[in-house]
Amino acid sequence: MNSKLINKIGAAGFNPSQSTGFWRGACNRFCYNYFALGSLIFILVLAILCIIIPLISRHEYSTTDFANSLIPPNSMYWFGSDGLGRDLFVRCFIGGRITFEIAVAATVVVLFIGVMYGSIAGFLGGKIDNLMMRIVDVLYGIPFLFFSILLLALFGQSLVLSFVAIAAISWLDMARVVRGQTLSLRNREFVEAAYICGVSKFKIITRHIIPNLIGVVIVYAALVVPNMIVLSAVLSFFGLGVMEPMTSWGLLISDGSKNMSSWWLLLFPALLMLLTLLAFTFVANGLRDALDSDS
Amino acid sequence: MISFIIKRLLVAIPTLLAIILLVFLLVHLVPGNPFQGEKAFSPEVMQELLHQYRLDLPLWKQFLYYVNDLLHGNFGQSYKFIGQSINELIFPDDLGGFWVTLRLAAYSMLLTVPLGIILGCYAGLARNSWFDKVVIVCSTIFSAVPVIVAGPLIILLFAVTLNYLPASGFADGDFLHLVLPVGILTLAYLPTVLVVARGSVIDVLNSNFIKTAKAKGLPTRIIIFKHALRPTLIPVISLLGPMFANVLVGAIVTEQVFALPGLGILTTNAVINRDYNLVLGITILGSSLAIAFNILVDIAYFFLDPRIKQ
Repeated sequence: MNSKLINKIGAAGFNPSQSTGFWRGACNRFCYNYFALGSLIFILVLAILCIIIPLISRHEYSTTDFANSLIPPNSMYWFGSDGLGRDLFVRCFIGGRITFEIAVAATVVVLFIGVMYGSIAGFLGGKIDNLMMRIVDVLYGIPFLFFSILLLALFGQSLVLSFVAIAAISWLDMARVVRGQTLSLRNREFVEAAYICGVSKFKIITRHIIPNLIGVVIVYAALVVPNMIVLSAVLSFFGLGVMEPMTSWGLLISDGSKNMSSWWLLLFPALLMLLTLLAFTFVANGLRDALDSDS
Repeated sequence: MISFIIKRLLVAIPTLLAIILLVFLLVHLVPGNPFQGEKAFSPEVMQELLHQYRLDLPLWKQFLYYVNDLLHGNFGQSYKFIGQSINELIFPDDLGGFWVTLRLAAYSMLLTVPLGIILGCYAGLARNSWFDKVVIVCSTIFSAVPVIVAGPLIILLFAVTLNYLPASGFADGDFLHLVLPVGILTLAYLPTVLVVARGSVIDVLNSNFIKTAKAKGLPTRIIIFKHALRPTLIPVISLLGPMFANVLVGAIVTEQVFALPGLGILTTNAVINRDYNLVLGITILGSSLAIAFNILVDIAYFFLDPRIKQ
């Protein structure tokens, strides 16, 4: 879906040589993009709410109360209550917390694998690069969803494993983008200078190549997070991932869509997720425009 | 032409083999066997079961047997539905399993591609007009909202609240039951085609041969249909290969949302029942379809882009 965008990022190339001036300029450009800035603030506020609300709410996310099940939104239950009488408001935010945790953790794993793999392939070049990218091509051939279902089904349903499994198949795009960027960095003067000075290849990659990839990586990370949110929600629909009584947005939406007569069960988590995904898209667009110094 | 296709096939076969090996190893390296669990079998029965499913052989022999079966179009036996083959589960005689998924994916591809090309080209030709702006904003929003969120919300709106269309089920491929799932799958992938088509049209219109055509005084209609259309389609076509795999996966997610009896339900049940042979079969089917479609796209490329022939 974002391949066009990725190509654009790769082709335009970032110019990190402007050091502080570049980052200050990018920051200014981002802050003048009110849509992107507003979206970023929305995401931050939502993240803080997800931490705070389960702590201060008068309801507990797992306490069942059969006398008050399936109550429409009112002053006591702001988002209504579910079939077991649990407050949906708290569950939406605790679910948001889990969803954000999975997405951020998976993104970190994606970034780590993708950046290492891509920069090593791009820097070494030649036959090794060819082989490494061939492997990526092979993995691309597998419809990713089956693969993550398979991984989750095989390695149990713990939260940690679920995001590692998700991340393990999502680093391919990242690796391609980083490789492309590394190929163009490889022949720059400062890398040659480091090479002549006798710096080891590993050190050149970690000290000289990777810092110069930060621009691409930041933009791409802003695209990976919403993808991870969606993927974890999809896996919830297949009954994998987070287990009751803990919840996630995907699980709430999945439960809500099984019980449509109680519309609030679906509407609130779906709207929260929808707004979050849109916000991430706008932030990613804003970051791309801000960091793309050519335009 | 023929040597090109053969070359493409020669690359595709090892790729497919590598995928099969990878998935096979993943499934078979898991400790334990599929018959441990709920029911305890006596050692003799267990031995017999393992023998029947060839699970007592060394791993490499199992793999060779599996590949041999695949070459005969046989996905093996289900571990859970004793006596039933995976083929019967994936390709049932009635409308279900793969046929539902294929239908869903095919219909929405047939809608997405022409619609995306037409809208994208139109937006690109009328760049910066209100139509172009509306299309861009809509496609940004649609591409950000996944089926998993939009699907249930649309069901809530059209099926439950307004009561216009049936919410779920397939009813033997009845038109009304297909409107929502096909529609939502189409909307999910339309932006991808549209944005690429729009960008491609803009690129082509700026190129020198179009300027030449304009300078010769050709009418706009001929410039667009005779000169600009073919090169515009090239990036769109190259997009379709990877997109097909995505649509297939998207169709399975859509099935989950709309409770259609396709590969999605089959996968869920396979996971719940730990019927790994079935998951293996579905994964391999999906991968081979994706690879086959990529080859088709490459061949289509060959006809569209005369530069490849040299």
